[in-house]
Amino acid sequence: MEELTFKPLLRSVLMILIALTGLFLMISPVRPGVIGGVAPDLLACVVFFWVLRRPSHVNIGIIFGLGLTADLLLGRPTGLGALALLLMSEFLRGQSATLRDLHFVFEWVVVIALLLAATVAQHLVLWLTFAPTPGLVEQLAVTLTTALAYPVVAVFGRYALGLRYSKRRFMASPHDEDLG
Amino acid sequence: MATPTEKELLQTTRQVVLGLLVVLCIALFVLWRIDNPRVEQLRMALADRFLPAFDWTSRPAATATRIAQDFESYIRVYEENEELRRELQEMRGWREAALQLEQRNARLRALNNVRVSDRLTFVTGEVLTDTGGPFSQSGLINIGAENGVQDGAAAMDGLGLIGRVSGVGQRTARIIYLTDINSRVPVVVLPSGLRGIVSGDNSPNPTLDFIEAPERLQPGDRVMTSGDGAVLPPDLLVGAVVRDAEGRLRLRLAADYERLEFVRVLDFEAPETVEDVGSLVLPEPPALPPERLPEGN
Repeated sequence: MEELTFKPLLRSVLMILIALTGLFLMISPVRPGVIGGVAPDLLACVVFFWVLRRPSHVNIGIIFGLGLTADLLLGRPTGLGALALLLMSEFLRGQSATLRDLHFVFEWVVVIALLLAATVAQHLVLWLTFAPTPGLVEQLAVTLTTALAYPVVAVFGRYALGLRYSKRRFMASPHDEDLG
Repeated sequence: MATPTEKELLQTTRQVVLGLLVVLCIALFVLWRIDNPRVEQLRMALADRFLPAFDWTSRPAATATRIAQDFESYIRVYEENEELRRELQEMRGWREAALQLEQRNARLRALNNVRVSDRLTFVTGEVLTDTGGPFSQSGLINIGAENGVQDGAAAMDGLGLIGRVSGVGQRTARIIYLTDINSRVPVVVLPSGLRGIVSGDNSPNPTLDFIEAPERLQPGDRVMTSGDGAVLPPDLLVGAVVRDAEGRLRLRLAADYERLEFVRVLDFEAPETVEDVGSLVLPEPPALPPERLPEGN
């Protein structure tokens, strides 16, 4: 019984560690000061991938925490990136049961569509609140690289971590004991 | 397993928590819009806590980059040699010119009895992380308030200005680069003495705005900080004027952002300004109404 309650916690911790690794890859100075270079949003890729395969390991508190950390460390508008990540992953959580039976390409298309919608929405919000914003083109460039990075993250998760959709019905259910 | 009512309860709780988090996000965003400095403090506190632990990641990454660059240069070593020879020849000419200018400068200074401002002191730090992404062109360095870094201080590589400090933690500080969309630096263009503002736009070459007479500028003119606003010290090299394809004035930055590894943060105190009237010339200005001023003096 104790093992059952302990294991999901451990898996959540593993998920957080991998997501943070993605975040630090984004800000590590591989080529410091290169201007115009766009880094893919690896954090979003990891969260999306995980929330589709193991919805119960990624509760909304974790997503919010990761999103906010990314906002603060990357210098993005605080709260906005976290909100976008939260809404996108909650939408995907609802689609987990549907996407499980489809080919990976469909999952990819859904992720790209979500990222595009979120980028445009964020740009709109920044524009409406007169916040300093980089051009929409540059934000879309980030979205594009993120979209390209998603299959890479997926291959890593599938073969290095062995994460795949569970066949059993109850694993995909979003309700679990560790609620946000 | 959970009964249907328990399931519904869980579902409702989840939705309530999600709603609360959404409201929290919006509140944070509003806070960021209204009270930016406080959020910046939070940002620095987080970076201060987190990033020094990742000191060891920055070094291997930088080394890998350097190895790759060295390898590239091996491939075209012959061309590079030729190029270097040519540059060396040019530099000899410049060195001669510089020596002569220095001597002339010294003579003129002696004639004028100019007081040169105190030498700037600086602290050197290493770049820990850079924030990739279009929202912020900035870097985190591994020196902070403990090392005497002050908010607003100028940051340079060996040659030119790279930006200014915006946010200081105990052991880290954030440098906002000249290319950031929020960066505005008052400058003076040298031969003509025209003043302007260098504003970043996420491109490698920031724009040069608010020039009174742009037609008097030549591409290649040197751009230095003017020290207006008393935030950055005057006379730091920023770059050279270039004109882009659309005819806009831009800057080729003197600092080499591609090989940014060590950063100097200057310690600068704004010069005192003279604000009140001298007490020797006019002893008590309010005591003397204008019509009763002695006229014979």
